Amino acid sequence: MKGRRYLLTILCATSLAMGGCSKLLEENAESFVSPDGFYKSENQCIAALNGCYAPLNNVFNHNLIVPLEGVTDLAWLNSAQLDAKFEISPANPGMGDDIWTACYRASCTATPPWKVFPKPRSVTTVNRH
Amino acid sequence: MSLRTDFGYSVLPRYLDLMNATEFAQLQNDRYYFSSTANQTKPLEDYPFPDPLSLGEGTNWTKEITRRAPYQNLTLSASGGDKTTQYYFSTNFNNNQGIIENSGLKRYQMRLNLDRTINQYVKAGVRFNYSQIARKINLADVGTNTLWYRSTIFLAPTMAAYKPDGSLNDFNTQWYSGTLFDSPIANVELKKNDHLEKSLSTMAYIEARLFKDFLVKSTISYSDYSRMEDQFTPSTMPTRANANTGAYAYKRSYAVDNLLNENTISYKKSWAKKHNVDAVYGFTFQRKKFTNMNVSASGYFVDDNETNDLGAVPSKETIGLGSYLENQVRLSQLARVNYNYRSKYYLTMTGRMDGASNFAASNKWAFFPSAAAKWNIAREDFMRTATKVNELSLRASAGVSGNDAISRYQSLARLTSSATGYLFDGVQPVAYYPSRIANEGLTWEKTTSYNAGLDMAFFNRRLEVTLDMYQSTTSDLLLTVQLPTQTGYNSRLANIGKTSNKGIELTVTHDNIRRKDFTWSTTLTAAHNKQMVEDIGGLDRIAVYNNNWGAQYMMYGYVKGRPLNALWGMEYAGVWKSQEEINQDKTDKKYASSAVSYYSPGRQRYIDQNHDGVLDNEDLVYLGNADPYVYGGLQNNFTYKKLNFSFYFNYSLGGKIYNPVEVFMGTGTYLSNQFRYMVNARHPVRNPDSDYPRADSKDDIPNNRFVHDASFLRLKNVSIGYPVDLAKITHNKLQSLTLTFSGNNLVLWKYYNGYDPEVSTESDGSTIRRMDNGAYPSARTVTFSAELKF
Repeated sequence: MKGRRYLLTILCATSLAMGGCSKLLEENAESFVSPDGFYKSENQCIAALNGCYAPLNNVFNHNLIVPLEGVTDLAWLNSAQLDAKFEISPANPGMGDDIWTACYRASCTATPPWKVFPKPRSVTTVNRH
Repeated sequence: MSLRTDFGYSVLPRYLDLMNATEFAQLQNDRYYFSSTANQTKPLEDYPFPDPLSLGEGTNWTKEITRRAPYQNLTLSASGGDKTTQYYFSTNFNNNQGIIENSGLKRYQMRLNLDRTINQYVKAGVRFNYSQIARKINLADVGTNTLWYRSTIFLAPTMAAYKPDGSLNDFNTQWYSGTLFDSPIANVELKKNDHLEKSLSTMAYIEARLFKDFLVKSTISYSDYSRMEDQFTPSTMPTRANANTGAYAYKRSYAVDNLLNENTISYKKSWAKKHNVDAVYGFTFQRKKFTNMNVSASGYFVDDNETNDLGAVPSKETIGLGSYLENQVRLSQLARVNYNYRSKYYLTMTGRMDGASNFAASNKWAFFPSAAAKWNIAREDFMRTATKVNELSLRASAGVSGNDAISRYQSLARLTSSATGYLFDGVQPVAYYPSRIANEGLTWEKTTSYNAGLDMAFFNRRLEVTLDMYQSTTSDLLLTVQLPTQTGYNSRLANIGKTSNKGIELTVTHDNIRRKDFTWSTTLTAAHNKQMVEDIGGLDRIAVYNNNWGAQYMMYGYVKGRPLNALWGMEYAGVWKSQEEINQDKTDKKYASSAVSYYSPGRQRYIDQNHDGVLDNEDLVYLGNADPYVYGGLQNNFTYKKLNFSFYFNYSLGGKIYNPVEVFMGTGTYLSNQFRYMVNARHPVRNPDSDYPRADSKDDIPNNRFVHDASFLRLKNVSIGYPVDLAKITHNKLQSLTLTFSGNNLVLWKYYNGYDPEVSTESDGSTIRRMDNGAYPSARTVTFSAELKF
């Protein structure tokens, strides 16, 4: 009978401990960083700057030739499917859509690092770019 | 003890009704005919296929990679024990080969259950289950829209499977102007994608009767799952051999360990045989840990070592690396009280508090109450005279439940690292970029449901009827919503919208014949279910599946006031019959085509819903509901002396299904093979009245021409079994031998022109149902089994 009393006590204690332990539910990301914990060192700032350029990788595809060469007299489009219009403007990017989006993205992702970078004196050199 | 062995085979039940080589060649000639006016007067010798009839059936690419796949199963189990100790153990070997060459799985499994009554108060036990599954993942694509250039149903029958010298054909003549490719045969024969899964689940419990009416039970389960993935493409794969890129190897190690602890205390008591109460309180804790590591590299010049010498990579630039660790925790507290009065009136009340780590910090907990009542009318005094009624009871319940099926860390802001970013000074330095914004509001998806039921049994239980009705509303749906590009993010997970679900289910069982030597019973089930989108947070639509091509119109998606599984597309209006029709329509604006070049006789037109002369999102209409009007099954069981025989049909009536491959295979494109109905394509001379578009008219418009009735009737199972009594012959050394012969998915009656209207290819499942996009067709299986008991 004594043993059973002990068991009951242990169970009740665990119950209270577990039930009240909402701390167990807190999420701590182990494999990625949050913006709050970043931009602390020179290397981190440079890596964030590198990230601003990442969307520009998408510029180097077949569509690049369209705004560069397609709009000149050097090229013409022999397509029965596409009603090709070589107009490229913010309102109507047309065939330059992908290039436009990639460049715009790059400028968008550049905003967060600039906002949170420490004051210039704590970063000795961010002169690479 | 029992020993059971099964063996049998499975096959692909049917091929699609596609063009053969002759028909496809004729279509290519038609394309040549339409491509310029000058071609129309040229002699047949100048056409791509001067003699289509000589080509005959050509290659059936699906047939080339499918097979009659063997099935084998062996199980040995034993159970027994005495008053205080019970045991069960089993061991199993299963070899289930896939109907596509080089796919399938082998499984070894071992189980042990042990229960011991320690004394009159305490009982304890353990469970062990180990399994090892070696999977060979299917390497060929049977019909995915997005992989049209290598899926078997898309490939032209005019292309040979093998070159004249017996080697694999590696040239796809239909891929634009023709290109080198890895045929499905090359994929199944050369590639490798193996998964080795090991899983050990353990559980221990102890239950103790602390006081007279209290029972405390605590269980702890720990399971350890690991999966090793090996993918390898040898340097001899045609496209790799041609580019001289060497072999590609990928290895991944993934593990999940899961700790679960459940504790309950229950109380049970009866007073004066009238009032019966039982109550349970419990709490559970669950922690899951996910770890992952993967490496890939390319350029290996020794194929024999496959993924086993990753270090031999010639150039380090090709290396891809990744790893992660994720934790997930769930906590719950639950309480339940059951009460019944003389087994006449039943009442149950449950409340649970659930906490899930994968929601936002202030929104992790939610309370889910529910209650149920039952009135057993047959036990009332006034029913005493109604002797033909064995059971008559009414049930009702109401409650709230929750859904937390989202990935970890979805509410946290995230910076993602990447080593494949922009090039600086000839190298790709690591880059960090913001990939998710914090979401403080992310919380449980909640479903409030109401159920009512009726259970009846009559005539000595010869007739049993169960009727259930339900209605539920789901709010705060966990949906991925598109974000405007200027935010810098593509999409985010949000709690948005509301859906409803109403339905009725009926089950009737009748013993048609009850004789000593012969019995026959029938069970019929019928169900109706209606799912609606009530609200999507002010958005016009949330697309669930878009056509991958052209303007990417929505094919499945949520729109307020429409069914949840709604099909969307354009309304087909046949083909333009003449240039006069096209000119007239410039003022009428009744129809519109997808592009300028489609305003041409023989090409498709659609209803211009808003008469603005342009085909765009404004002309997209609701094309039907993927959910059936009624569905269910019919089971029949017969016994004659010891022989038993049963068959089961299932059916579904009134749903709609898209066949998305028809965007290619029903538009006469030269890129892919066509459904046979395209032999009736419109041709100004041969077939001027046809409403099937002329050759070479792929316009990338999903429309009601590709929507089919998903109704079907399937002979799902037939089984015949006979137990042989061995006890007498063997003087109780052996007990019995049961022989069973069964067949699954034997006959299917359908309207749909795809493999099977009962499909779902989307792996994440919950957002889209009954969508066919390259589904692995369900096999027809025949098995014979023998079970020996001793």
